[in-house]
Amino acid sequence: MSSLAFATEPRSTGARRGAVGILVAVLLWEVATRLDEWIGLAVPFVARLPSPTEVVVDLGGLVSSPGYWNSWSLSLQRVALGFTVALLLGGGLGLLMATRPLVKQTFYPVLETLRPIPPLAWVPLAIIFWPTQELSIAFVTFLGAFFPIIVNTVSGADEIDPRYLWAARSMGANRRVLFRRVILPATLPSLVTGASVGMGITWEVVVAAELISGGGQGGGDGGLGFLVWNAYQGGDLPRVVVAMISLGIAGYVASALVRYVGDRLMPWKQAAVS
Amino acid sequence: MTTPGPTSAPRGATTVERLTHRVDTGADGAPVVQDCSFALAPGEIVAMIGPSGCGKSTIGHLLAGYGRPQAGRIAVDGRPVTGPSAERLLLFQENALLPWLTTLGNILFGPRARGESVAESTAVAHALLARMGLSEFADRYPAELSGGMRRRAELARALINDPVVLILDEPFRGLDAMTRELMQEFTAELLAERRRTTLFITTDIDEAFLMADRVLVMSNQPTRVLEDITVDLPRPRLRSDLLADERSQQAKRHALDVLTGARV
Repeated sequence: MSSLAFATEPRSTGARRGAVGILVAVLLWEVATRLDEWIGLAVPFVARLPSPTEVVVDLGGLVSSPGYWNSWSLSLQRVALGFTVALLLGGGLGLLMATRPLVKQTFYPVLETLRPIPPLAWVPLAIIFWPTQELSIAFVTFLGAFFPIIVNTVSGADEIDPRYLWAARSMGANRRVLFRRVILPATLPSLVTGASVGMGITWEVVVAAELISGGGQGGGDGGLGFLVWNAYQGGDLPRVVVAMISLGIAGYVASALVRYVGDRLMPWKQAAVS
Repeated sequence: MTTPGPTSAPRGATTVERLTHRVDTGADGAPVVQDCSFALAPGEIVAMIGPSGCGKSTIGHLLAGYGRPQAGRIAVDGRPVTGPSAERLLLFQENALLPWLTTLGNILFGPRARGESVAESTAVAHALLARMGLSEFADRYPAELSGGMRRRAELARALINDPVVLILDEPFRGLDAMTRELMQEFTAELLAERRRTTLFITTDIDEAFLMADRVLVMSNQPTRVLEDITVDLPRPRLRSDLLADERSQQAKRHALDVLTGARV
């Protein structure tokens, strides 16, 4: 369940310490932004930030506005679409390359050439290529997740202990059994690692893509990334911070979800070494 | 009745004839195994002992069917070995249980892969688990088992496939001294009870004499058989008996002489 060194500590201890850490960070932030008015000491950088109270007040106003939740929904949809397609295509092609050396030898170099291109460099082509702006953004998001997933899957399959394959073949496994019961589960940890890295990049990319594409038709409903940009242009700093923190929470929850699903798929990984 | 069917005849007669094999590492390409010949009688337990890295494992892998010998011939019951088969199972050094399957899942891997009746093989698997002292660990993953338990689970995973030839490649390597001794005695007992042709590869001379009907002393690379020593000691053998027995001490000294001679 938990790491070996802290096996005696209950799981809740870690969560409590995390909560304390967040509380301390918010408190320090509050104090730092107030020092100027309290004792006339302007802390460099931080003094110009809105204080947590201002942020909370702004958030209080925002939660009742449908535009804010629409931004969440738009960004989530784009991430979900891009990520899902990346997972299916990246995982599928990765496993195909893992089992068919011919496919891997032929197409892996193509992949290695396209991989270093930052997803944002694809934006102009994406805009030309896809009929709607939504699809362009989702495509760029997809690229962010696709490469980490496929590369991790392929390298994970490369590192399968050959003894597993030999032993399985000795016991009578045909190609199908070998794939389902050896190659797939052996590659799953790398695939999940790729997916969680990919999920992180997806959020980075969707925000940038939203900034570039200029949001939707009406101001505030262009996605969380657009919300950051729009608030900045309107000089509304508390709102910039609200949008930033919203993104932080969204990314954190999305990554936690990937890890949770991964843990569920790999119960043997939780098996403690006694 | 009149003609003994293939199942009733003793099986597992293994012949290795003039085997030469190189593992392509380095440009020199010196053979690891050269002109190596030996035979295993059906049901015989033969230990193969030699300096570590001499090429014993290569012989074991070739007998299991992992790769074709470059020269020479390996056959079991007259049929040449052409690839892996459930008839010839190898227990790898250290543990090769599939980490994502439970103990029971690992044991059932072979029967399931071959599409055999799950109910029937599950019953056999549980009997094997009981024999191995692993009944309570049927639903645990390999990571939750101790080193000795993993070795026993792997023995069970091999035995459920009813192999004709069992190849054990330094099976107790990496176990602590105490577990190692327990596993040696356990395995000796198990093999005595379920006799089948066994090639037992080891670097431990005491282990060889505890287990085997015959000990093959191998040369350093390129490896071949230097000496073929028959161990006619009564079973069950215990470590303490072996230490007290003068004949076994003599045989061991002889094997050691050959081994040290081989190293110079």
